[in-house]
Amino acid sequence: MEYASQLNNQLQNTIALLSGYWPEFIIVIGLVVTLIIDLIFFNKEKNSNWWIGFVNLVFLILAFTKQVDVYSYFSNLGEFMKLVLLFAGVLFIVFSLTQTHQTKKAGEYYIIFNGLLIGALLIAKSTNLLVIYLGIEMMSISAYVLSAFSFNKNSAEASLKYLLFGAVSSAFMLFGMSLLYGFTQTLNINDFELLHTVKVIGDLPIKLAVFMTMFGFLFKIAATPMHIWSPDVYEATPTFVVAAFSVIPKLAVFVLLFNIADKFLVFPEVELLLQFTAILSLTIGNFAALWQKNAKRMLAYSSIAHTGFLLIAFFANMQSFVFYGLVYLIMNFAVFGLVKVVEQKFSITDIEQYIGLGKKIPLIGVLFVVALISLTGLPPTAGFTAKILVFSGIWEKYLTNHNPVYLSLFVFGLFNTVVSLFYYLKIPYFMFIKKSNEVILNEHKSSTVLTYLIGSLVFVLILCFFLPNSLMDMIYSINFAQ
Amino acid sequence: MITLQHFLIIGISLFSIGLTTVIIKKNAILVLLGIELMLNGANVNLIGFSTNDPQIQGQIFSLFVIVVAAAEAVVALAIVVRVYQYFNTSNVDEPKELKG
Repeated sequence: MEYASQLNNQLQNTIALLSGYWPEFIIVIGLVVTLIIDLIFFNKEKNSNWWIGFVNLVFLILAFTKQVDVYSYFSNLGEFMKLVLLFAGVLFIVFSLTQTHQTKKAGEYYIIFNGLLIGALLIAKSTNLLVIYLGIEMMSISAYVLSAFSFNKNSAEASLKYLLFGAVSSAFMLFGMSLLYGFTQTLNINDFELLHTVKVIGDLPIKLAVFMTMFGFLFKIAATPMHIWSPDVYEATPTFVVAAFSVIPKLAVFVLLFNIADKFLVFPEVELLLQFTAILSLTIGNFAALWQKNAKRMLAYSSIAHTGFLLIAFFANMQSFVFYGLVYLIMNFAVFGLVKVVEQKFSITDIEQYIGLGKKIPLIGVLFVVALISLTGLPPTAGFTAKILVFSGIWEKYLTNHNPVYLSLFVFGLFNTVVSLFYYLKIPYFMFIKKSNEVILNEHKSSTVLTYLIGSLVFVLILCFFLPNSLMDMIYSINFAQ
Repeated sequence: MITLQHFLIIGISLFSIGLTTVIIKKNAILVLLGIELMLNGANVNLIGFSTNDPQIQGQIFSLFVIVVAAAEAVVALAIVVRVYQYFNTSNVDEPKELKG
């Protein structure tokens, strides 16, 4: 009898704890419902693409509202970033809905994207090695499939490269995790006592295990030694998918880095590795972007450079990271949306072909200028505020502990902001300033809804510069203590 | 008597053989075989380490890894078939459309 009541109590506790997982449950239900709708209506109705996307959107918005409740209960960094990730998911689906007539195999498209989102949410929440591994694999297997969704020669090649690099890096990560499990006898990172085990087996094997695990994480955020896949994948993948790729996995893995920081960064070598990676990502990303001719490829290198900035923000403080991450999400979606509009209207993605477009489509041109200025980090845009926060954070860190590494992070960050100006302003230069010999381009219709959506995103970017308080209040509602 | 050392030796050998295969082979299928060997090396490690763990979390982990590896292989083979259709080869170094 006593045992039964005990069991009952335990079950009640478990169910109460599970209420924090409602957003994930809703997405899984949405995934299954989408699958069934796709099976029933596939090829039967012309509008089935639209319906599938719409149903999926409803489920995502439901999950988002549920996540607001969960966040108001827990209010920690992981839950807040889950909110941000779900927002990115909603944006992605709204963007895709404006292109329904073009989306091929829409059912799979939305279902696999939901898989990616669930993986990202699991990573942002968990501190258990098994769940982290499953989340990362779920995210990356979905990403391999999505990167093949252009259904042409280039995207087949890109997805093959992505898959092979990704699988090797996750094998490394898994091996590192198996060693960590062996040393600590637990899969729960919060129970790790790595420094304690150093006395028993020496520090070299532990550092090796931590490095191997980190290798897999750094691959997912496309930090420099592991960035080679990203330009190819970004160039060949459908543009909206690229926007999602550049935001969702990155932010999720960064939250994971915050969650494991106090256990993994106990070794100065690991911290140094991350700082070195930040500097390398910034420099190589920015300098390689200077030579790019394709707009999407250039933005791929730019997002590698932004990984560097996010890593600096990671070392500065959580507030600046959250602000930078949010702004990065908005401006990346805006800029990739604009690339898509131009791609759809004139079927071009090379920057040199943008010549004279400023006169033909002035609104798009102006939006492009504001979004790119924000990516560079100049006023009057939120990109500037975000960079100011990051730099002041890292400067304060330097003043408190006088570590020369923080100073070099600061200097390299500033220096690279200047370098990035050259390639970001290449697009406005070709659009507005350079004289053209009247190239005739075939003009197609593009979605006006999409343009308005991007316009509102850009408006938010400007608004956050003049009124950063609303955003800051939101960020300071997070409980950073833990 | 099989001790932890035996497990670790087999695990690291499988991992190294797999990594070598990934690096030296050109055919995508053989590279995938190498990746599978690397994953199984990690599996052997996990199982070996779980002998001291009353909760046998390592063995559960390795079951999950096997399932994930199967899912990954499915996606990988589908992509290799795609590449073969476009490029008429399954060697990883021959498709060279993307550069910059």
